[in-house]
Amino acid sequence: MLREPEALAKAVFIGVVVFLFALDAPKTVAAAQPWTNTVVTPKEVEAIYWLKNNTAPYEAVVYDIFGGETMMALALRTPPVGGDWAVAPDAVKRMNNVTRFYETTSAQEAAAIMKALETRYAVVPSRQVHAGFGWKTVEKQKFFDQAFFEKVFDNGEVVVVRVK
Amino acid sequence: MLAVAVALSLWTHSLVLKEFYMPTYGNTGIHAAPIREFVETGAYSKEDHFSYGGGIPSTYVPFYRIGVAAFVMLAGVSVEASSRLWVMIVGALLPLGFYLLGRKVFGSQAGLFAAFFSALPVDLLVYTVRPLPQALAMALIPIALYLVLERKWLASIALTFFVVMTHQESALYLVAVQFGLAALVFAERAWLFACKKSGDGEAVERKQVAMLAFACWGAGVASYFGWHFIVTGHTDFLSMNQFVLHEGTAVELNDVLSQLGTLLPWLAAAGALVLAARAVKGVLRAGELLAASAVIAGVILVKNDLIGLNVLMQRFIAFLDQGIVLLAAIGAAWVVASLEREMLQSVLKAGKEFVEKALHALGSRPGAH
Repeated sequence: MLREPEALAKAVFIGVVVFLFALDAPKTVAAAQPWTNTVVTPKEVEAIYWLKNNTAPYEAVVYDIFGGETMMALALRTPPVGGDWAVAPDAVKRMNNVTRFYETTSAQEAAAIMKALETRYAVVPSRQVHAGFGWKTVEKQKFFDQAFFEKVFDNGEVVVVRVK
Repeated sequence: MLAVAVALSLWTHSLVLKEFYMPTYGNTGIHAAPIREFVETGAYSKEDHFSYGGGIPSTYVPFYRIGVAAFVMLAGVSVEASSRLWVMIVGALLPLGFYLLGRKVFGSQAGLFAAFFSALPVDLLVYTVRPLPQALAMALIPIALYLVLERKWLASIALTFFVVMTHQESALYLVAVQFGLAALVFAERAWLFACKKSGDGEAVERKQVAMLAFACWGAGVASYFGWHFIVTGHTDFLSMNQFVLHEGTAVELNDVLSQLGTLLPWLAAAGALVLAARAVKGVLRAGELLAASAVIAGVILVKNDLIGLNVLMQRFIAFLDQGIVLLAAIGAAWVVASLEREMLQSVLKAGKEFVEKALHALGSRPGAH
């Protein structure tokens, strides 16, 4: 049985610990929350399911890292970037190519990159994309150049194009 | 109280349930893809069909993927739902593992403190709240270390193997802690031998724990090299892009402190002082040596750029957090125990003497009544 001052001191210490714990725990959750973001949108998932229904397993489809990894997880389609780069021989080159693919204003250059990557389809989201070198804004206008691309899916937010 | 700690951890980990789809940060899809492939084809492929165009060896250790796939096949729930469910299982396991380890290291109060404190470090939550192999492996590390201290040979070697086959960085941290523990004990024995001194009554236990820790380290290292050889045909894991291109950023002290919050740094400092004082007295138990090793291994891995590796330094903060949680639990339990014993007595005695002297001084002043 603790004597009164000992019990009081212990209670004060536990009280301080509980108080600081109660201050810290919500901050921990708030700091972790951004890391649980999906990045991809429900409309992108619609596009991924369109690809699943209209292409063969392991079809190569140009997408950024976050979209590509979601696509491989939901549809078993293969993006040029994203995944485990541990033993990928040309990972950095692919990152450069896909970054350029989304950033360029030239439809001809984008189509050439798709052909170099041996892909027929590409996903064009409305959000910023990340292909290994930071978040980039997509130059969407080039994908409407019918000399190089054919729009095969459009839900108002996300477009899937096929290179000609 | 332990149930409260588990409930708290489940609450923090429920972040994984809040969005329409599981988190994508941390490359969660690169595990969900082979899980789905396994479920749909019935075979686990040694070739990665998805990463960077596919057609490369699947070097990632497979147990998490195989485990979730087996769960999907047995329970009949989706890959995505199963992945999130496993995070909730991790959320329950994490405080339980820390409770077992903390209790073994410094008593039941330390166990409870460790269970609660495991909810505080930001990086520990960030790396256990997403459906990643790391989450599962990090929840198993405290249990694997507890089994070593319990001298459960088969179980600890088996769990070490399981962690190694679940996540590479977790494997590295676990075997580093085990190696560090063995090294500390063997160094102590060498010093005793050199000084021609005999060890204390717990020296035999420490030696047995160290031998098991060393065996786990050997089994863990051999397992990883074996796996890497099976999938790549060689054991040169330093040729992986993470090492060659030095993926990772340097970590400063503030990067560690800022994600610990207010409470843990103070209590961890108290825990470090307790261990230092006990080391000076030469009375460190195996569990306390393990706690020291858990922090030292974490610091070395976080600062691995200083030893030339320069790879994924910031990712190891979450592992250092595991050592810090244990250290803080030791600190808190020591304060509580001390308040029940001599420290409070000495504080009261000092206070009483101060008051008596003050009263005496007041009473002896000229004109005082």
